[in-house]
Amino acid sequence: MHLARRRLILALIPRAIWSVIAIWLVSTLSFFVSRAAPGGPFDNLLRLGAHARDNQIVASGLDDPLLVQYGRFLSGFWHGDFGESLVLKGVPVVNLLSESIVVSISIAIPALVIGIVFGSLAAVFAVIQNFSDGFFRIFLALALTLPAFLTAPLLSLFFAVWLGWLPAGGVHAGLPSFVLPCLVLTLPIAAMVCLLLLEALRERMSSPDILASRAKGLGTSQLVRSHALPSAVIPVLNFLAPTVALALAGAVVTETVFDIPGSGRLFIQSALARDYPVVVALATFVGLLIIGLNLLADALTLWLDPRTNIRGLEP
Amino acid sequence: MLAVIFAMSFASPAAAQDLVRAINGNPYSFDPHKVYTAPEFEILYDLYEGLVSRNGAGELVPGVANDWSVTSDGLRYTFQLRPSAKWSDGSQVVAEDFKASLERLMTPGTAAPYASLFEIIESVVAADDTTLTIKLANPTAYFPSLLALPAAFPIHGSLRESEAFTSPAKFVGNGAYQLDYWRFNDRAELVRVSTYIGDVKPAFKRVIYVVSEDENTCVRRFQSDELDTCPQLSTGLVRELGPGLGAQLRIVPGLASYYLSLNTNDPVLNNRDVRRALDLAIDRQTLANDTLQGLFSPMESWVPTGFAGYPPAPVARNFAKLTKFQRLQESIQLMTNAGYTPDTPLTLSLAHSTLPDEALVMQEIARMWEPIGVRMEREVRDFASHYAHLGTKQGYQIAAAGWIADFVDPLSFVGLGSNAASSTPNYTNFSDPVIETLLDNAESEPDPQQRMVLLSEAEQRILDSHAHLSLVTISLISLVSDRIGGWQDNPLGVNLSKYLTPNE
Repeated sequence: MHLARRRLILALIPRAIWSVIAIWLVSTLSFFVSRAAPGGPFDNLLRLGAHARDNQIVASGLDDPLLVQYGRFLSGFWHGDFGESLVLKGVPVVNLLSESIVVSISIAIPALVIGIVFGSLAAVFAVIQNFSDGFFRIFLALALTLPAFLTAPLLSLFFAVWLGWLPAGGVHAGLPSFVLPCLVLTLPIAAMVCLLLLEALRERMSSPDILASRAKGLGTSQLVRSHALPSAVIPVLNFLAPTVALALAGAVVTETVFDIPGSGRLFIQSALARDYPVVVALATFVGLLIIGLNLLADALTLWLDPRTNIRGLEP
Repeated sequence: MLAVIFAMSFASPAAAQDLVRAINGNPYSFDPHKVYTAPEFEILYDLYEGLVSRNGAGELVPGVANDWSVTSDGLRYTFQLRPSAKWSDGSQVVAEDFKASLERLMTPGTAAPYASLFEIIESVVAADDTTLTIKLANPTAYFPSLLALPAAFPIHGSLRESEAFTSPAKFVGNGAYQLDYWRFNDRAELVRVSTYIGDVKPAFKRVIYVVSEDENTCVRRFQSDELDTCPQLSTGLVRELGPGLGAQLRIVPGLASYYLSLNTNDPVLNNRDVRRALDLAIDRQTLANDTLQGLFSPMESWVPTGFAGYPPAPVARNFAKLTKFQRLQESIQLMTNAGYTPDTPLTLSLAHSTLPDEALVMQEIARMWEPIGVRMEREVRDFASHYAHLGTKQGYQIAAAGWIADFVDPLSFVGLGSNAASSTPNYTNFSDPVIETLLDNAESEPDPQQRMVLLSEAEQRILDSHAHLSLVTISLISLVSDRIGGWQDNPLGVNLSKYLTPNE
């Protein structure tokens, strides 16, 4: 056990170094790409003439050479200071980010937990009961492919407008406010978890060692639980790493349809308003989440199945 | 951890006595000198009160000034301020507050979008706490109407050097309501000021402005009784909704229009005949009655109807008497002379925003121009990018624009067609010395009737230039719940919360 842990840590060190470089690359890229987009944060002042806009550009230091601005950004980044919003005067980027991320996370975490639990249970149940595929697959395909811009308004129309059971938007009605947005996010996650686990379990169940165990008289449910599940979880983990990151980063469509002040909606509006510091900070945050969670998934994979050889992990 | 997160998210469930109004975009500031969008204006009307204010019907009424007088040359206004006017911190609103705020507005460093409207002010003198004298460079009949705009609201001494307007802890205003909570993309909560003394006592203790930029979401939340109002719906959505909402659906013609600006720096559009051909081929009746389902009205002039005393004599397009067929015939002839036919068409770019009604109208216009030999290439941008693009006056041939009057005077529209009036954006490079002279003369004309004559002559020139093509009058389409009383429709769309009451 001790040896395995050492091996795990050793294998993860190069990955961790690459992660730091990747995060730096993401923030740098978003810094330059956001500034390359046409227009600027003070274009609304053009109706007063070019001088009005240019005054604001000078006051915000946006007239400095791009590399100077980048140097300033890096130094701020190093000190954990993302500066102030360009369009919301006097509001620190960190405040905007943290407020919106808290909201997105409070929808994403329950959605992920429910999605994973229900998806896994459904898959295990289907294998144990030896369900025929047809109906089950159609249901999964629907849950997986129906886009949020369709499911969200439909659920809202049904549960809020017609039945009046739940609010149609906002986050101020307590727990009920979170039910519908959560449900919209849960559906595709549950379906994907179920599908991946189903495939992996079926494959494991027909492998020679399991067939041998079955011949020794072990029941299906016990086989699934103690033999097939641990390694069948790996593809699910690999799917979940980016999914968890993206869910935590905020869901643009769901947040817009339900008037939720989350980070997805903040990202879109900051991008439209050319609020560079907010865009870069959010992109960096999402990058950090995706890279961090992938690292975690790699570690878990190695731990669950030490035979795994992940590119970059093995010397 | 989850419990903590949820607890943090429950700010305050709306109580029955709250007024919940939707706004279709985020306010970016509560600084009267920085705001320029409809949602910002709506909130500021509740947070502040100018020398002059607007009543429930949108008409001018005394605000902080309970009386004012004008010298016979129309140049010197003297305002008597109510001693009972208070800031939300309890101190008195004095003449010096208005003087200092107007000076802040005029300081170029403030970069106030509405500063140019106030360039007519020559000097402001606060003789004592309750007497304010404003001297103008020109007699400006609509001056009181300017003073009701947010740009002329007083700013408390503690905020004049600051940018902390969005912080409820630091906010001080003089309106019926005070800022209590604000979060981006979420809501602004306003609470009634106990020391406020005005023409009415506000009925709602709390007013909540909910940011709901998607009109479909807004309507669903309205239908589930979460919102009391929804602003500016598109005509397409109104059709989908059908008659189910009854009298809750409010439609009122606004002092507002959609128009096209033709970039006259473009070698093709510099040709007046081509511009006339394009103008002739637009069937405004079809746009208003079919495309927009009769909810908007066709515009036969440049200035929408609804300004008192204007026009003094009818103003109309010089082809108003031609039939639809004759117009099309002339249009085709002009285009053929210029070398364009449906087989050898002229390709023009048309920039417009993603606003549903605007996009619908532009699609229809592209269709109307096909038979005269015009092929449209539509360039669609989001609302903010579109207007930023127009501000550059470059890189487009034809631009769609919408305009809502800021002050109730025909100049708010006539100025759009000229570079002379700095108060309004002219998105084309078109300039006509005759129009500019007429507007200059109107500015210094002391006789109000003669001034209207000069403005209407300028309007006729704008129509004859075919450089700006008015299309339809925009209707203000909103939802107002039958739980709310006191809502009076008006063409400016100004409805202060203090005039609204809960219906039992």
